[in-house]
Amino acid sequence: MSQTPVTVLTGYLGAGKTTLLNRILTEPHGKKYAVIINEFGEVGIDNELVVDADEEVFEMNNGCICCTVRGDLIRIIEGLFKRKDRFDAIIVETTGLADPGPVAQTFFVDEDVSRRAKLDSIVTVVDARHLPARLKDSREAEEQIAFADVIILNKTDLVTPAELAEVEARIRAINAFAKIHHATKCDVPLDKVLDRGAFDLDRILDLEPEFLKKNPAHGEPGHVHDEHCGHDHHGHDHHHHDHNPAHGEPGHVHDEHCGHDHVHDVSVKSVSLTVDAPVDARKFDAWISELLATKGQDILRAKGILDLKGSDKRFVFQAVHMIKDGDFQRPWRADEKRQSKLVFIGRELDAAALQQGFDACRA
Amino acid sequence: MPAARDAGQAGAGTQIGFRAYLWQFRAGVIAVAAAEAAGTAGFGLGDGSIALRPFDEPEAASTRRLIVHPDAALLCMAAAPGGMGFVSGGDDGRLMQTTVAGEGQELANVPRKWIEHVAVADNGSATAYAAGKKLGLLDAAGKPVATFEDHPSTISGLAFNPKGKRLVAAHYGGVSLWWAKAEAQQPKRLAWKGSHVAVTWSPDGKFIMTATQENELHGWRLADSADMRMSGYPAKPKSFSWSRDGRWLATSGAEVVVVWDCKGKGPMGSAPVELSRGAPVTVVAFHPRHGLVASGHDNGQLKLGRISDGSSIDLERLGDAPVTALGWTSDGRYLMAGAEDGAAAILDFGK
Repeated sequence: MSQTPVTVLTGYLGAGKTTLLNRILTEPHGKKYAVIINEFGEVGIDNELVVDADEEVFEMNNGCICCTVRGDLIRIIEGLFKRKDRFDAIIVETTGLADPGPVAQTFFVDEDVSRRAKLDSIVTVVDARHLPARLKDSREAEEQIAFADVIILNKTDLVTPAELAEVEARIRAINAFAKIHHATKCDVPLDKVLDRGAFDLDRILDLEPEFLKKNPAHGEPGHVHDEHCGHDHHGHDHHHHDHNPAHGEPGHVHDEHCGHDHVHDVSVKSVSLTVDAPVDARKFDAWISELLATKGQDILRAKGILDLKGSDKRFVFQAVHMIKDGDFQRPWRADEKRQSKLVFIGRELDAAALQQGFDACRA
Repeated sequence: MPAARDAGQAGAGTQIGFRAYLWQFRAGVIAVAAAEAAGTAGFGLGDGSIALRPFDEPEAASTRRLIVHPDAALLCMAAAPGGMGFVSGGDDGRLMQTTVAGEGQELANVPRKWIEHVAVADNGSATAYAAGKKLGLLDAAGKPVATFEDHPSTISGLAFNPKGKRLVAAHYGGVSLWWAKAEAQQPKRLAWKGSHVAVTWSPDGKFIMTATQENELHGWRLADSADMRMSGYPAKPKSFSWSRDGRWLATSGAEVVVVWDCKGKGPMGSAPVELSRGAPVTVVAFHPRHGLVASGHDNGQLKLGRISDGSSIDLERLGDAPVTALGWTSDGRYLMAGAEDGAAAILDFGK
């Protein structure tokens, strides 16, 4: 039985989730969706099959301290598959207060769910004007960006280009790898949102931070400083501070150094690591297992493409908190640089220590 | 079209013979039950209907269908008190009682909720259903008696005690025990961390057992509320069935039927009996009279195992899809079975 794709739609109230949801449901694509909405959701979902969920987050007694699942999703997904009239895909809408972690983990932890359904991607809708305020007062707003594969930066018509650049830079500082789409009324092509295969190991193609592909030049608004921007960095992420445009200037990234009286400090960031020599599979497994076991609460998501010694195939890897998943993928191509890359999105990440640990996995 | 097969299965040393009648329904089988006074098997289906097959006319060319939950899925079903029909809950939020003759009565309606669990007391004195956190109690005539809402999460399983005087609801963090009467009351809680996904009460009244999200069987001995943990399952042991005397508890969730000996203080610490090895076991049903356990497997296979010597035989294969429902008539003559893809069977073991 092929697994039915599940798109998770997150974002705080008023960001535009319902607009996007209704677009997905009403555009002529010939697909039938089952929609799982939260009980506090906005009204007016135009679909045959809509189920109310209670967002019941359950802890697992399996020794994995951050391992939580959404009990309601397990129940509802099993129930949906009892229906005769089947659907092509499932959309799960969460409240603005939902942590995407348990939602994502449900698809990896519960075998009754994973037999039937697979997570396609996490799509987060944010409001360009209100995001800075939400990031200050809500840990969930930050988590929803951190977990996202696709971010719809909505209502861009309500901000100036400089404000837009700043808000995008703040998103990038948290999650350097999500695809960001600008929109005014969630008017992005639906193929940018659906059928992304973001959790499909076969579809992990590259791990270049998205902003490298269209990062404004150094010194321009929206530029994000990172290890690639040619500065004399030494892997110490606090050096970013030196290059951060002054507070209030375009492109300024609010961080722990900028001295605001933040109610909630933005604390999630992305770290990208590279090793240019082949990696030893056993050393890597021991290191990553230990890392996830001890730091898994702070690591929200991780992905990797590894050049393992003794194999001509790319080894691809992903993790959500402590739950990891990996497999050999296609062979390395002749025109491809064989190297190992890992990315982490999380809290309290010590980039230098992580690089050191990764370096020690060389074969 | 029904397909009857002689299936003597005269394996060495076995005396078991049966005739198998097989059908293919257009929607998956969610539950099976017998309306015994009406001599009819009911197959609750994912299209919201109940397909009826009379036991004494197994080769009848047509199947009568009761459209009980139109445009919805049936999620749970049990034999109605009195033996003339069925009680069923659907994702339309309705609890229906329907006779084999087709007379339907709406017993409850919970808008925008699913009715996922229904239980009928063995003596027919009460019926209970669960919709979200709400537990509804009905009398023998189907009239509402009480509703109990004090549960920490959505109810994930329901069972009456043998006399129908108490009932247990499973949920996150344990189970709640309620008296099956109208008075305002606080539930007795039996706590165990984690999510409990199914529940059963032993026929001798001594034990309550749940299946957990962590693929364990959890139990409470009611005399002293002692906890029991039975682990080692590769999947959630969500289907249970007791021997009539309450000594043996058969469970799904492994590649064998795992049968615990609940004699005395309970099964913890003793090795279970393992029967009918094969594909992962999805449903189990203890024979109502003998020490035999029928099992349905992930690959559509039905098997029958015997406690006394650990032997087992293959009964019939429904198809390739997992068996989802299994049940005996109370006299032990007929075994009803259904699968996720709509394949269904009645096996007649004769008198």
